[in-house]
Amino acid sequence: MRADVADGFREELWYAPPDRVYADPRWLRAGVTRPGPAPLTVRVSDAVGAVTALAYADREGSGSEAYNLRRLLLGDPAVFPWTAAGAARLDELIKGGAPGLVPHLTVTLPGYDVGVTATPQAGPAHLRALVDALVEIAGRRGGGTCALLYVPRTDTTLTGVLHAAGFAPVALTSRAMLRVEWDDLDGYVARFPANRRHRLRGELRRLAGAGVTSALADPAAEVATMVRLRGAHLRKFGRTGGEAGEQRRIEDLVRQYGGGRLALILTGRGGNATSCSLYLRTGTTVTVLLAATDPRAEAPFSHYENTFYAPARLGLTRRGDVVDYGISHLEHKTIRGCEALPLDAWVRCADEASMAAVRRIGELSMTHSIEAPGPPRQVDVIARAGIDFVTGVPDSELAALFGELVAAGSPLRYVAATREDNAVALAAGAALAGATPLVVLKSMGLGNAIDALTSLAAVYELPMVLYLSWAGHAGRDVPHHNALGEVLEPVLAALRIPYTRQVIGRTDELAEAMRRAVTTARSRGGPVAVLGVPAALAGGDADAA
Amino acid sequence: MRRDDALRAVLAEARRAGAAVFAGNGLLCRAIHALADRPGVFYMYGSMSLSPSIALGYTLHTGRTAVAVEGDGNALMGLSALPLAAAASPAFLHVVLDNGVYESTGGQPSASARVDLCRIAAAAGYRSAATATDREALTRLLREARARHGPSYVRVPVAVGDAPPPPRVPLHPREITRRFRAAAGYRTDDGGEL
Repeated sequence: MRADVADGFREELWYAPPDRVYADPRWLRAGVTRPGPAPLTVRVSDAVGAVTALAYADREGSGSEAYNLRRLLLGDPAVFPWTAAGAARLDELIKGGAPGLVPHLTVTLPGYDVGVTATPQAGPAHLRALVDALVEIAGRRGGGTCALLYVPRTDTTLTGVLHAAGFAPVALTSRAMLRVEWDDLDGYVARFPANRRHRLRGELRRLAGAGVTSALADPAAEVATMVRLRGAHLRKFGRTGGEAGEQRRIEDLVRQYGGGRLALILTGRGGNATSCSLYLRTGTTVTVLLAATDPRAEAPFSHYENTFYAPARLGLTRRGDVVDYGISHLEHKTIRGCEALPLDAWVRCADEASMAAVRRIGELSMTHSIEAPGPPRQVDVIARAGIDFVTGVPDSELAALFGELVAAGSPLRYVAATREDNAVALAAGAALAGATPLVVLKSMGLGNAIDALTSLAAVYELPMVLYLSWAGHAGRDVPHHNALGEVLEPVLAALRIPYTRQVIGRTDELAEAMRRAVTTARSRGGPVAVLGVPAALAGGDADAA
Repeated sequence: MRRDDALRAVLAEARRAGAAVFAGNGLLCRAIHALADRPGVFYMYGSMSLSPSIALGYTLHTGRTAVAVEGDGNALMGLSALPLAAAASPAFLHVVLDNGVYESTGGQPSASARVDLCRIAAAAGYRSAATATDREALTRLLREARARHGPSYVRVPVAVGDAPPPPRVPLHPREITRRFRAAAGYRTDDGGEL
C-alpha cells in the first residue's frame, strides 16, 4: 500500500474505460489484499476521500475541492459532457443536501461514468433523489454504469437506498477518508518516510518564507473576515450575493457552538487574512465546519496548510483528533488507539453480465479484506518509538527481529552492514539527515564499533540507539561470550554510553526501553544502548526491565 | 596528477550535482577545507575508513547524492564497506586519491601499489570502477558517474607531498554536524520542526 499503489489507483480511476475497470479489478484487489499495518488507526468520518483524490490528482494543484468539483462536473463540457439539465439538477441536489455543513461530494471521472459520494447529513429521501439523478444522468450519457465511492459500511441509510436502486458493494477497505487520532504530532510525523518528513518541513519553511502565517482566532470576532472570504470563494464559482446567507450561517454557528467549542484558523499574508477554517471541537474530535480561501491568494501550499498543518497543530495543542485529508499516505497511519472502518464502493451496471462481474469483485475483496490484528511485531514497536532507519549485523538471539526487519511489510528500512563499525557509520550518515537510527548488534560487536561510537557518533553528536543482545550476561554463557559480557556495563559506562535493558522477546519492555532510548539519544545527541538480555540468561534477574 | 587538482575537479562536480561530500580523515580533510569549504562537506576527523559508510547512510536515508572522498589508506582499511555500496546501489560516488603512502602520518608506504582497487570495487558490485590519470579523464569519469544511477568508483593516482600541508580544519565536530544539517535542511534540534 505504498504511494506507487495509491498513484496507480488514481491513474486507473482516471483513465481506465469502464469495461476495463470492472473486467480487470486490479486496482480494487491491490487495495485490499495486501496486509495492512497491524494497528491501523482509522475511523472514517465521511465521504470526502473521493473529493480529496480528485484534488490530489489535479495537476494544477489548486487544492480547492469545490473548484475541482465544479470544473469537472459542470464547467468543462469537453471533459464531462452532461446535459445542462442533468448538471443543474445534480448541482441543486448537492447544494441543497447538507444545511450547516460544507457539502462533501462527488467524484466523476471521464471514462468512468458517474461516481458520487453522499453528503454526510442527507436523509433517505434526499439520497434516493440523488441516486436516481445519477442513474438517469448515466443513462442519458449512454453508459449506464454508476459508482459511489467511499461509502461507509456503517451508513445503513445510504447502503439501503443503494441496494434498493440495484447497486452492489465492492470493498474498498484500504481506501478511506480517515479521522486520525494520535498522541503527539512528532510521533505521527515520525511514521512518515524520511523524504516525506523532509518535504513537509520544506513546505512549512516555504510557507513561512512566503509570509504565510497561521493562528487560532476567536470566531466571534472574525465573522466579517469569514464572510469576506466565503464571498470571494463563492464568486470564484460564479455565484454572487451569497454573503448575506454566509453571514447568517456563520453567526448561527457561532451562536450555537460559541464559548470555546469553535476554533478558527486564519491564514494570512502581509496582515490580510487569505484563508479560514472553522472547526468544531467535540470532546477530542475536531470537525471542519467551514473553509474558504481567497482565490487571489491561493498557492499550491494553501491546501496543505488548511487541511493538514493547521488541523494537525490544532489537534496537537488541544489533545484532540484531527480530520486528515491525505489519501496517499494511509499506510503510515499506524497510530495507537484507532480502528479501521470498512468502506465500500457501490456499483450499478446497466447489464446483468457486468453486474455479475462486480458482485464477484465484491466477494473477492471481502474475503481478502478480513484481517485479524496479531500481536505487535518488534519492528512496529521500534518504529513507534521513533526509529526510522535500521542497520546492524545479524545475531542468533535477535533472529526474530532480523526476520521481521527483512520481511515484507516491515515499516522500517533495514540496511545490512558488513561490520559493526560500518553499521555505526551508516547510522551516523542517516542521523546527519535527521534520522534517529537503530544499530542492532551482538554485544561482542561493540569492540569493533568503539572507534566509530566515540570519535564519530559521540563527538559529532549524532543520535542513535544501539540494540545489543547481551551475550555472556552475568557470566552464564560460553567463555568467549562471558569475556566481554561480564564487563559490558563498565565498558559502556567508560564510553559514556547510557543504557537500559530488557528481556529479548518482551515487546512491552522493548517498547518502553526504545522510547526512553530514543528520547535520550535525541536530547543528548549521541549513542544510547538498549541491552537485550537473552531469556535463557535472564533467570532470576529482577532488574532486567 | 596533483592532489589539489584532482580534488578541485571532484569538488566542482559534487557542487554541480548538489551532492554532499564526505571526506576521509587526515590531510584530505585539511586540503578540502582549504580548497572549497562549504557546509555540505562532512569532515570526518577520526573513525578512519568510515566515510563511505557515512555517505551511504546519508544517501540511503535521503535519496540524495553523496560523494565520498578518501585516500588509499582509508580505502584499504574500509574494503568491507564496498559490498554495502554495491548492494544498496544508491546515488553514490566513491573517489579514492591514491598516493601509495600514509602521507598524514609521515609517508609510510601503503599496500595500494600491490593491489588493484578498481578490480576489487568492480568485483564487489560497483556499476563502474576506473582509474583517471589526468584531469580530462577524471572530468569525464565524474560526468559519467553523475549520469549513471548506481554506485561508481573512481581511483585517481596523485603525487605525494606536492604541496605544504594545509592548516587544521578549525571546526568543532558539533559545528560540522550543525551546519551540515542546516545546509541540507534537516532537523537541528531534538524536537523536530513540525
